[in-house]
Amino acid sequence: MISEIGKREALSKCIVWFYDGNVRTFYSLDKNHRRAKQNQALGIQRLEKMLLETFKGKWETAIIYENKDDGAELAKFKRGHRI
Amino acid sequence: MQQISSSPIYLEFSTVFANTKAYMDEHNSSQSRLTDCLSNSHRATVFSIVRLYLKQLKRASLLQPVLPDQLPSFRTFNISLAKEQGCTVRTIINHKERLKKAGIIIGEERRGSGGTELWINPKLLLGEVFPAQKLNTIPSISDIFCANVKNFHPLVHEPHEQENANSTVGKSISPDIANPEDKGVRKVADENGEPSIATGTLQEHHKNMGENGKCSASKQAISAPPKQKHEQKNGEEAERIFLLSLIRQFWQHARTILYPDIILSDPENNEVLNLIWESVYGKFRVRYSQSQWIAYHNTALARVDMVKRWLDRDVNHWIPQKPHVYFDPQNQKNGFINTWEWYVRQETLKIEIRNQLELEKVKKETLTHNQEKGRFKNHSRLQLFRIHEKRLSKFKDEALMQAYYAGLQYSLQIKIHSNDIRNRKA
Repeated sequence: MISEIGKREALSKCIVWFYDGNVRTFYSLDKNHRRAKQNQALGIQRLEKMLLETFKGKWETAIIYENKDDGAELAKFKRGHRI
Repeated sequence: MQQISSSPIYLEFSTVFANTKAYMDEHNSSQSRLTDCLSNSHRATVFSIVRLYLKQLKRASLLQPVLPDQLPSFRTFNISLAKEQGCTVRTIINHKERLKKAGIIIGEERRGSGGTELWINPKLLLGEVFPAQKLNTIPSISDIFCANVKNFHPLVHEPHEQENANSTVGKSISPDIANPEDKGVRKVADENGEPSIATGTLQEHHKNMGENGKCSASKQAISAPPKQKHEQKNGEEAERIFLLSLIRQFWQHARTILYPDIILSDPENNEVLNLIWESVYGKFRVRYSQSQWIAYHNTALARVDMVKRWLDRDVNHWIPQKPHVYFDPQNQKNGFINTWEWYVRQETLKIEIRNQLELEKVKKETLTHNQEKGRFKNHSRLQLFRIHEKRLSKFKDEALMQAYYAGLQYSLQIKIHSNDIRNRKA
């Protein structure tokens, strides 16, 4: 479970619409270790891996955004594929 | 009390040091208690301050003549003096207090991060009794020269001069004959606006370490002509853009060939570019010229093509599906960096095949020449040898030449041996 600080410091977030009707937001973990420099690409890759492996077949749509107000859309997934 | 002339002053290090020494001796002799006398360490601090002050005055005199009734203050840092003396800042502060009591320093003003401003007793400099001035009437050095200099840096510790800065030896100090009042005053610039005199002092920059070393280096950088600096900066910027364009070209090529269907966000794209910069181009650590980098870039593109051919050759051949894994410099197992070995092997093989073909051709031509056929039938054997040698040396391959000579020797030995046998039979 990610902490509030982790949510605040995350560079990207992923909103997932599951088949069962749930909608959940996941926040990226952008560091290799606690004192490492944040790497947004790493966070996106981890979110993608989560979608395509951990939650494989359980979601219909997933969108990765920048974790800030009016953050831009970074990646979009539909039925297991990046579009 | 003497009348102070308003003509520019000319200060000599030796005179000022003699005055300082005399002043301190006089002060010590007038003290009844030994603890009130100035010790040798105080003397060292005084000499250090005076020397740096004279240097500052010398520089200031280049901008504007220094008048004896308008002697500027001495700007410095406690830490600089401490470093020069090899003592702590606290010691310098204590020394300054003692020197104030002794009348060597007649005023001090702290400027925070700008250091401190000291007013030295003019008696030390001029060797005469200077009329008592109120501290606020003595101008600050920055007040005098701010019109001429944008940032007049406070003087910090610099290494000892190797020669007398006021010496005329090797410097074109030109006492103006027409104007005897200007005797000894350095001219700021000649008619063309160019500095007409050598004003620098030789300094041991290689011994100028630490904080002051940085300061000295920055001064040198400041002294570089701004136009030249600007051009240099532009050149570096252009080179940087050129090198970045190589990375982008490479990634575009690799993406089209190896990852045609991949969709990446901007951060991921930048990540891949960074990895390529590190793994393929080695962070551009090697100092190549632009043409050399282009040549290397072409080899990198050739490696990508090679990978593509390898993938097409067999269905079981694969590379990591994610470019950030494939171009990761740490990926020794199946990363792009391994293709360098492939490339070297392939190029070596190409060269070997080329050499073999060339040697075959030479051999064939020699055989046809021996049979008095072919296009070299009218040439002598030596001429044919020269032709072959010239042709093969164009490849600039030592191995090829050695193979050629070895083959030639071998064929000659066979020929000699067969001649011997023929002679014996005869």
